[in-house]
Amino acid sequence: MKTVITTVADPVGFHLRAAGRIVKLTKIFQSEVTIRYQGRAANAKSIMGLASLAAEFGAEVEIECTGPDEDDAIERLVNLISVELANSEGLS
Amino acid sequence: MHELSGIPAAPGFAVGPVRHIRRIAVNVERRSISPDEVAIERDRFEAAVAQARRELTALRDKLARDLGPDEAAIIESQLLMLEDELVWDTTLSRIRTQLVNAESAFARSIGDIVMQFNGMQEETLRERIADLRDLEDRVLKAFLEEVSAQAEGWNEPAVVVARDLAPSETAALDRDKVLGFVTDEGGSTSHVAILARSLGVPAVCGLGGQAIKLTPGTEVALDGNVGRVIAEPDQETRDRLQLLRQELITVSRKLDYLKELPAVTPDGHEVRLMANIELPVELEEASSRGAQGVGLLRTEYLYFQHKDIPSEEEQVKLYTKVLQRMKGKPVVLRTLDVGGDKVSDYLGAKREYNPFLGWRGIRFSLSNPVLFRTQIRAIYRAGAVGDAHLMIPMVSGLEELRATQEICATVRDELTREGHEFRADMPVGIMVETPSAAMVADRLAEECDFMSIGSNDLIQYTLAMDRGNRRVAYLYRPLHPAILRSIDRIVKAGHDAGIWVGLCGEMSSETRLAEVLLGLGLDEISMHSAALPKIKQVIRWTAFTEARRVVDTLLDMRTADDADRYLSEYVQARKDARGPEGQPS
Repeated sequence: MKTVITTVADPVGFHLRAAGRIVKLTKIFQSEVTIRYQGRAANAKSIMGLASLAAEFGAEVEIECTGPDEDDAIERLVNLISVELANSEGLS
Repeated sequence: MHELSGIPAAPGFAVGPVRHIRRIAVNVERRSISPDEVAIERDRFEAAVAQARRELTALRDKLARDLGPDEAAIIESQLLMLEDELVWDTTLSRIRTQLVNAESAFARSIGDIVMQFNGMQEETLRERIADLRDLEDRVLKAFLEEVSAQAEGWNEPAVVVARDLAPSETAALDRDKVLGFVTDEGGSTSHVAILARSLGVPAVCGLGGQAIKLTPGTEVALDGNVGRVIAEPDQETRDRLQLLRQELITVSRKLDYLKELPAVTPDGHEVRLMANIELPVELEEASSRGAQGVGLLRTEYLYFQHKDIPSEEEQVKLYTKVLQRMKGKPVVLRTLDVGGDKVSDYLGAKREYNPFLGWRGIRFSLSNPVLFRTQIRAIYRAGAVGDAHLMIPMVSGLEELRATQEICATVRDELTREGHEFRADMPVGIMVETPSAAMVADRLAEECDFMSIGSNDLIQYTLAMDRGNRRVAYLYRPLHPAILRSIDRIVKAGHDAGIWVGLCGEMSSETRLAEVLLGLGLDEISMHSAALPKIKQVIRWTAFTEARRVVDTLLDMRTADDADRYLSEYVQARKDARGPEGQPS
């Protein structure tokens, strides 16, 4: 199990499109991924679970990965949430 | 027997059994199942989701192609929601553990998420509830299609009852089996009202929840003239309305002789009488009532009917069909007029606080260049087989006309290069329905090929009254001096520039106003087909010079009340002079 805390770079937070990108990425991996914010937890493969975290720009979220590819998964997710989402242009 | 009253949306009378057309997701029935049925319900749920997924995927691809990845991303999110564990797993576990049917388990799952989202502070999250509801509708509809496929056919003529009816729902109706319409929502300018008038059947709208309570199969009597619905009428009421209905049919048969005759006044002034068309099914009616062409072809239904944006080829096919059916007679195709009261979610037109002043008509089209160009290309191409005209709605100034003409020029170049057949000299005109367009009608007239007055909106905007608001409905006055001056001014501007001017709003079909429109000098009047004979009759009876005199008097009136009174007295006096029925000469 790996745990990392990272900052949300998306200017509008975990809105649906951002959540969608996280879900898409997480589904590539076998690991179970949970994201926590302010005492709430969401499965990173659930777009609505993520959206309901309502993590805003600059929020510190905890990512927890468990599984055979947890190292890769956590690295890619941190990069997505803290860097790539900064220029969120929808899903593509 | 009990009476309900609503908005008189289309005139006429009917007596017949109630037939409900249920709008999706009205209410989902919760049904207990036995443990043996869990597998069946699971399969039903999976089938409905699969159906919804197919629709969404097709829609996403289409949007991505036509509008770009941003628009497609919204659908992408819905696809992800559909597969979300919060929806999928909880629905399946509800079916299994609570032993309930699939649709109620699904609706509960969505309801839970909505509740959760509702409790949040973030505005963006709450906005997503609309996406969820949209998704819910789509899946529930997939369930429903399964049900209606099993439902028995509809053999007997009936009164169609619904909360509201969308073009896609009315398009499938068999016109011979519809005696009338009763809806909870909508008013005299709603889609149902327009359709009902052109089919010549009564409609009563705006019953506010009482319509869907009518028991299916029970008899109902309809008076579309006053907006009354009588549930389970007694014999006397029934006979009375049947008799009125019969009389109406007789009168309209009497006017049949007018069909082949021109709309010419005794002193030789001719007016083109055209039909407003929304659905292809209305074309037959238009021809049978002697329309000289289509003065307004609303193209929205085509967009609303499909779950996704129709392709150029689909549009070419449809417009071609209309032009061929009209056999060389002129057809004015109005480009997409979404926004205002006509919202289509997939097109990206959202509900706005002030929709009539918002993103609608030509404004919407110009900001969706791919969509707009596709439609213009289709109209040009279809124009190869008939007398097509292109008309743009909601113009508020020259810029919009010029921008459209630029697109038209590009389209012509493209089509030439690609070797398509098309109508190179297609007239491009505008709808005059905003006060600003009316004020600069002279300038607009110099640069377009024709103008058609959209009187519904022109009245609404000029008198600053929301036509959907009952409290200000009394302000809807076609004879208001401001309206008459406006129309007069637009017609003169058009004629000074040497182009024709028509009118295609609701006021075109009011018998008492026909003379006024004639006197205002309109070259073309376009109306719902059922009104054509009676308007033609007025025109054939009225000398143009006389009508002009009436208009001059009206233009001089101080108030709408004065104008109304004068016209009523005048019409009555003429009626008295002519005798009760008015014999055809």
